[in-house]
Amino acid sequence: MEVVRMFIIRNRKLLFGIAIGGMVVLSIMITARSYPILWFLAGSILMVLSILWRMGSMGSMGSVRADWLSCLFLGAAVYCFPAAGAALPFSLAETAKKRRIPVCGAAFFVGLYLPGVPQIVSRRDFFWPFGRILLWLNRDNVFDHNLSFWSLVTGREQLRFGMVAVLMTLGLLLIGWYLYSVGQVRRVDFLVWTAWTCLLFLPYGHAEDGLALVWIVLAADFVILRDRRLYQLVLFLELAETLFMLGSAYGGYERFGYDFYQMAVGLNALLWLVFTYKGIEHSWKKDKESTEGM
Amino acid sequence: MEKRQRIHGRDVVFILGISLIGGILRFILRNDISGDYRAFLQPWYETIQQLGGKALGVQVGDYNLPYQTFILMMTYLPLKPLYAYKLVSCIFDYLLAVLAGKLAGILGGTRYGQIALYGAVLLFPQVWIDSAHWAQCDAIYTFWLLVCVSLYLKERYSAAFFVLGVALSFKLQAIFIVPFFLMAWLLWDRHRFWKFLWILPGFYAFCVPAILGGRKLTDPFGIYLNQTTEYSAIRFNFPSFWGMLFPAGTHSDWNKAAIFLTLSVLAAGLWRMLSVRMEQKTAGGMTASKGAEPEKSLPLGRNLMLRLSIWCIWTCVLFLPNMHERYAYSLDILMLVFLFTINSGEREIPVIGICWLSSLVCYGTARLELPYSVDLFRLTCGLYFAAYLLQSRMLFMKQARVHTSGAEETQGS
Repeated sequence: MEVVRMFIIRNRKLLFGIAIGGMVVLSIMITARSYPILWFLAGSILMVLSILWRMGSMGSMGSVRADWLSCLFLGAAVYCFPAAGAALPFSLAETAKKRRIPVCGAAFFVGLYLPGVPQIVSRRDFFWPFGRILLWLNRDNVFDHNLSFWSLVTGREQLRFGMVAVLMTLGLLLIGWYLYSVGQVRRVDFLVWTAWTCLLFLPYGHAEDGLALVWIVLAADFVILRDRRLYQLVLFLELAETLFMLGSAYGGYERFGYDFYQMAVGLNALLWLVFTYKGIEHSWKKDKESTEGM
Repeated sequence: MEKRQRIHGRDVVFILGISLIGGILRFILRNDISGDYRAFLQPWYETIQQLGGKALGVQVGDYNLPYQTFILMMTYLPLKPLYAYKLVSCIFDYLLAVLAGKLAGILGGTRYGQIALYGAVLLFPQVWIDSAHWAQCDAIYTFWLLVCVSLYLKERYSAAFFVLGVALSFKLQAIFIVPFFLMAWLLWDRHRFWKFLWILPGFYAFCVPAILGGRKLTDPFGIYLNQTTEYSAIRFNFPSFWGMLFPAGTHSDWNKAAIFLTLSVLAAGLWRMLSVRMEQKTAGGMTASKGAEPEKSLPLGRNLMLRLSIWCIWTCVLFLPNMHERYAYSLDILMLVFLFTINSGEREIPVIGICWLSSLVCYGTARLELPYSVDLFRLTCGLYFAAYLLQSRMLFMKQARVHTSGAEETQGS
């Protein structure tokens, strides 16, 4: 009995991750009403990778639905893997649009606290889930082995750019929200774009952050109606680059190839721009059908 | 007549929100001191402050008379010199953002696009790095350039050239757009040549206080002549064509060749457009012989005009010598406007992206302590050149052909 208890305590994140992942894959499939076997297999492989590195990223996909259950998952995901918070702006915009902020907000905080209950019971501070997120942020460098736009602007030690990066992200999200709120951007594009914008522009990131986006794009790819090629390109590039980052950060490479890193970030930023354009392009094409993406 | 579009509550919330975010972002950087500020701007300010009103009578620094007048006005502000410089530049950031939105409207952008573009300009890294971090003043001349382009597209040529003169009086880099106006005049003959003379009163408009203060009429030109020889190298921190060949700050003996190459490329562009124009005329003549009324002046799409102006500036900054990292400022802004107004421009987006990222990297290496290897910089120069070639191809092959066939883009034409 003691062995089982120890196993559960030691591997609670793993078990929780598997549970969330399973629920989310199921929820996406039910939402999309499609079961493409190929993508299911790809999803399974990615899920294994995700479990290996960070579990919570899977929960970030839950935000697609913008109901209390998905927000619960999202809260738990953010606890397990704060980069899953990249899905938060979309979730916020959606819940605000559906006027569900009180219910979904409460569900989010419950989700955020649930995985932290064992720690709080073990005499951790009540604010432990928030403290954990703050601890997780790498505030010694503006960026560190992650696909950060700021690696093309300044050195990683220039901490004063941390706040600038936050404001820039907020500003970009505001522009995105504006175009989305006036019905000029498709829902699915907005979901992927907000997550990508957060991960590209927010400071204090980590190498594995890209996995959150990989999951979100994968989720979007299940339900996308058009531009599928672009989504698959994004998925492929994000996965490849994130694995490259993980290899550089944890994989035992002795020397970090900074040139190659900056090229990877440049490529990522370029693709983000293409994706942004594809999203805002609908601002010029008043195609009603195209705004009803999901 | 253009239809006036109503501003909704959501638009106001967005504009206020994005303006606030842009303001806070700039406020955070208020204490950043750049090398330019320490070496040039601060000593100029102190000298002008000591001289007071008499400062207009003598040359302080190497910027032209209007900016010197601005510095004199700044000395009367109850602010630290650093903040005064940054405040003026940041005010022009906002004006620039408004103008960019207006220009997008002229080019056929939607109301949403115009408003979003306002935010995009405020957040554009080159814009806030230049003003809030660097205390530089490129937003001022670019603002006037956008006014000029807007007026030109509205076919108010006299006013446009007057404002072009104003832009030229603030910074010499405004000259990069002049080839476009010459080409447009040669190609489409939409106005009399003498309208170019409006540049001269515009050029002197903001110089009046200094001239009244005792400066010669030839001084504004003398300052620019001096600037062209003051810093001499084939390139500085800019991903120019020459960056693939030579390190920064060297090989000034190549300068004349570089100028010749620039003129040759511009002439080649003009030749290509002229041949398109000839084809147009032939096609027009054939239509006339079939009984239709020949058009006196075939319409030139505004979008094509913007493309051509972008190409002219790009050609200048790419091939001319002595280019610093921020000399493509107006190019970057015009491309931003372009992004928000083109339709089906998927192929052009990577080109625009490479252009912006290359320029941004140069800002970073020059002033923001960005570690960037020489090899990677040379690769960036290569990519920048490749992007230019692609843009040229799209302009002269695809767009020109579209224009000749009479199927000009519907937007903004």
